[in-house]
Amino acid sequence: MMPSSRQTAEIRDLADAMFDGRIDANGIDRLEKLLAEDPASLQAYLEMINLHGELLHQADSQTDREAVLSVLQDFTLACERRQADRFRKTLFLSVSAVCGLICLAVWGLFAEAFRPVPLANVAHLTSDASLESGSAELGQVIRQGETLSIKKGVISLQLEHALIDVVGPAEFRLEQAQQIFLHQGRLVAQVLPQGEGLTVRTPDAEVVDLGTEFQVTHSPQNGSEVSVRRGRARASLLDWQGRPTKTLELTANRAVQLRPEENISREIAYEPELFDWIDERRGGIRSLDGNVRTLGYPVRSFRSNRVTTPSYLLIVPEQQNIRLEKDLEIHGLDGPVRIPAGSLVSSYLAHFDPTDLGIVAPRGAVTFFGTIAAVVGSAKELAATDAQFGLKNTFYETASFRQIETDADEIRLSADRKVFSFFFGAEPPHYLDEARILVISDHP
Amino acid sequence: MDIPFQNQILQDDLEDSSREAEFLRRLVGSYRDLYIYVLSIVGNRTDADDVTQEVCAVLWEKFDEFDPDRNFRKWASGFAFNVAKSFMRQQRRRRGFGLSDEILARIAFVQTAGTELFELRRERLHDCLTKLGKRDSRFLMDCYGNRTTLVRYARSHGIPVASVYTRLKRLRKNLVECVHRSLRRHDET
Repeated sequence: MMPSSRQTAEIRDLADAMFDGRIDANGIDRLEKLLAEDPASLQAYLEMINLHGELLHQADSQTDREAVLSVLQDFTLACERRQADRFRKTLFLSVSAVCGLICLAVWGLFAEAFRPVPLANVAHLTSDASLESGSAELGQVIRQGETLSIKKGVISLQLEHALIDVVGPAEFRLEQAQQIFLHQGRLVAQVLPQGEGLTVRTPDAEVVDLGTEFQVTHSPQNGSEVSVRRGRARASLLDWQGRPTKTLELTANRAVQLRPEENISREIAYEPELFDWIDERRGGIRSLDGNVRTLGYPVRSFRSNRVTTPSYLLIVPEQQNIRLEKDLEIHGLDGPVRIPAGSLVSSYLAHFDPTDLGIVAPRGAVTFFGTIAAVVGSAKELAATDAQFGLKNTFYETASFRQIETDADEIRLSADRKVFSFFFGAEPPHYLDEARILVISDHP
Repeated sequence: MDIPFQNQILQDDLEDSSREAEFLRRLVGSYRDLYIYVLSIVGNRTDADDVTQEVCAVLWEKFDEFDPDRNFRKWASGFAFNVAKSFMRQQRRRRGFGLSDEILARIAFVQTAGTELFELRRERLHDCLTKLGKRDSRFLMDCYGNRTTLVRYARSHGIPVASVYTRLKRLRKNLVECVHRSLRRHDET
């Protein structure tokens, strides 16, 4: 039976809404009913969908060959992710891993030609960091064209000449060594002088680093906002062809909002709290390796059993960039240390509290931008420095068992004193181990 | 994104008799139909892009099982349907609504059964597009090309989104009716 012209029109509208991504639950229900009841409606629906598919093809500047190449490049990425997932979940020689191996091994040189260039690695994760699908691992390589959707927490990526922190929920893509596309969410970039020119694009704005630390946020509702903490950046509204218009050059402590629907870019109040939030979670930490995380949420007490860390060390940025008014003399793990007056000191608490013997003793390393002046590990010195360097309004353990056990715990500093390496054991009945790392600030 | 030696490698592989080259040849030859098949099930281009990529991954994994005497397109469609159906199930769970498995199966069946007719319609569409005015043609290609969204298009041109939808609806209707007329003329001759 032929559908009535009215019903045909309705089917076409529903097909259009489906294709345009604007169909809602009522539309789906109605579509389901029409398609189930009337084969002619199903035919009409598919005629529209095929029309859309053909128009896509006509409008696409790629040939089928180019389209396949593009898909294959994405496919190589998907292949690697599939193999990485399977390695984590199954034995190396399981069927699934073999499929993944075949996938990569047989491609061989061919895949190498299409494998996107590695552009960054995951340098830091907060304890609550998670992705929309899959998982992020410290040290994980992120390749050109790869999109990351962060559900929550902070993930920091080390690029060649920059460190970027992305705060979930967010979605972004590394397009080139010096170009990032932020689809939505918040991103903070610290750029080395060699990385000047790093560009962050959003759907409606472009920010070019001119030697600095800056932040970009984007949401469909509010457009894009750019804040500069240090140095300079150039922020531009983009037209529909992606060309910069309405450009503003920002210096330190300035911010701008860019709204495409109003076609404006205007200065707004600079809010340092936006950067403080990242500092609270990462501070001057350059990268983490091994079983170590930073906190994803505020904590009021580090007393025993309050902040448990089953199999990792927690590194907590405490007071940052404290200018010493007088010399500071303390006993570090490697002997007496004098930090001269005028030094800019940042403090980090290394906190391990597994509460159970049945855990894997964590091993790893923390690399700082600055230079480690001292590591305080005795209960007495920890207590003595809690007030000056600890977090405000936060309780610390007062009992002596909080200190490092030199016979069970191992701490090493690199020759350049930028890397803190650790191996923390667990000694009953009290498992809490803490150390305070004092770092002389050295901004990138 | 530039891929070094792209054309050279593809040319070399297409002339090679390796398994990879064989897979590439067959995939390139079927890609457009495969994409539209996936689009018919998932309904929109963004999801179709994602699902098609996943389908290609599965096809490669299973390619050792492919009998070269078989029709690659038909063989690939089987996997495409499973991947697309699984995707739509996830969407239903996530959004709380979506087309049922039964309807998706019907869509897939009719899309496959009507392959030749749909191909004919696409050919007629191509003729109908040449009859559009320059402005309408440009508008249509802008809306469908570059993976842009209609909202972004509206913003960039400073026009209400509703106007874009209205204009698109009119053009789509014209094209569908043009295709119908063309097929009727073909049947009458």
